[in-house]
Amino acid sequence: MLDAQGASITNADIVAIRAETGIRNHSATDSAGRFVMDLLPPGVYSARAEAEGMSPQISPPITVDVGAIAQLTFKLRVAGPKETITVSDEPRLGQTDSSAVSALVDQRAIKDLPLNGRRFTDLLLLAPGVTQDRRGPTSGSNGDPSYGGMRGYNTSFLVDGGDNNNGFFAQATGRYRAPFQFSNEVVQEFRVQSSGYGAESGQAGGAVVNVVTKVGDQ
Amino acid sequence: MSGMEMRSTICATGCAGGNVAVDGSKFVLYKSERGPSVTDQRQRLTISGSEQLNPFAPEQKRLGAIINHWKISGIMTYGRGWPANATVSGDPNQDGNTSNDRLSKYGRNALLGPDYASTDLRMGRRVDRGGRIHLEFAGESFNVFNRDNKKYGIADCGFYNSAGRFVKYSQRAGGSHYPAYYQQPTSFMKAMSSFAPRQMQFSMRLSFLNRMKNLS
Repeated sequence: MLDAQGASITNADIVAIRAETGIRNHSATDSAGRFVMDLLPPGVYSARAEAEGMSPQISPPITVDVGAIAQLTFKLRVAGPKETITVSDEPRLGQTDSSAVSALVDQRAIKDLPLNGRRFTDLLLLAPGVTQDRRGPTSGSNGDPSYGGMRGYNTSFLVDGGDNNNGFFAQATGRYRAPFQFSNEVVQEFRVQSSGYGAESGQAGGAVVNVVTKVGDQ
Repeated sequence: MSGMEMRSTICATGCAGGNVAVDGSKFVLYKSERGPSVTDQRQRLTISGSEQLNPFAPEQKRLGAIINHWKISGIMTYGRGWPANATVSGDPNQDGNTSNDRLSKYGRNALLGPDYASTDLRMGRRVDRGGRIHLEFAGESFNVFNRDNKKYGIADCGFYNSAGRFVKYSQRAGGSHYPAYYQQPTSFMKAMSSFAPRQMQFSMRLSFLNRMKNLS
């Protein structure tokens, strides 16, 4: 958060509102003018920054993907006699700080791409480094997705932050073994993170697949 | 490596070459055990995309109604083969384990299986007549070019394909048993099955919209 001269603004108020649900997240800048909003549910957000004596500024719509970081810079002007609201620059998206190699499979891919058997987990094969573990194939599956030459069961699945691994076969719960079902209709997007994932992930020698389900009327 | 015992195996028949003897925790030749896993597919390329082409302007009602609004998407996959193991059945090193022996001088998963390619296509269209009901239909084809993707059977432990069979005490030379011999199977490194041929799938989806939402 900067002012017109490029100096940081402390104690400014930032609110991010999610377009799909209207949920608001608040944050305030620290002494260096930085702010962070952790663990935002993936979706489209609009942010607004306010500071004392400054004109408020709003951001263009920000699409926050699962496991991704959006960097936003506000540059506030001193409030004049007329109330003006400016629009900030586009957010910088991307994993600038992360060492992990990851790939995002978004809603468009899940909805539009041909999918045999309606298992969204088969779309993992679009990510780099993934292949099929040819052991244990069934008539309905060519094997579990295997990452980096590891066995298919070394891939860990998280759904909305919860563990979604079959305790016995160690594949994704609902991949094809009864009695579980997991429809691809409910999946909003997912991120495939390779080994070398961040400290927030774990328990996988292969990939960590972070799945987010839909909310609202999507 | 504590708890593991190094030992050398002298093959009584002089033909198994002392290749592998994994006997519980006793490893014989570490070097030949170091090899790729069966999931080590070295090269793999996937290209995917989806596009809705609307080549006709709304004024061209008839052509536009038929040809516009189709969404076409596809996935193209090409990958090199997966490693395969030169397994020998019949326990040539006589360690009691019949499923851990390989052909002499072949390390773990030393062979390479056939490559794999597949192209999947989908064409779909949404019919929206402005009411509460939306209709979406789509046709999908997997492996649309019907490529013959050969497959070697591999069991859960990675052993299945037999490069040979070690047969004991079933042959007689003169009056006595011939100690042992190798039998080469006809199926080794030949595909006994394949991945799926061309498959087609047609789907229709009806969405009922919320009346309240429609009013707003």
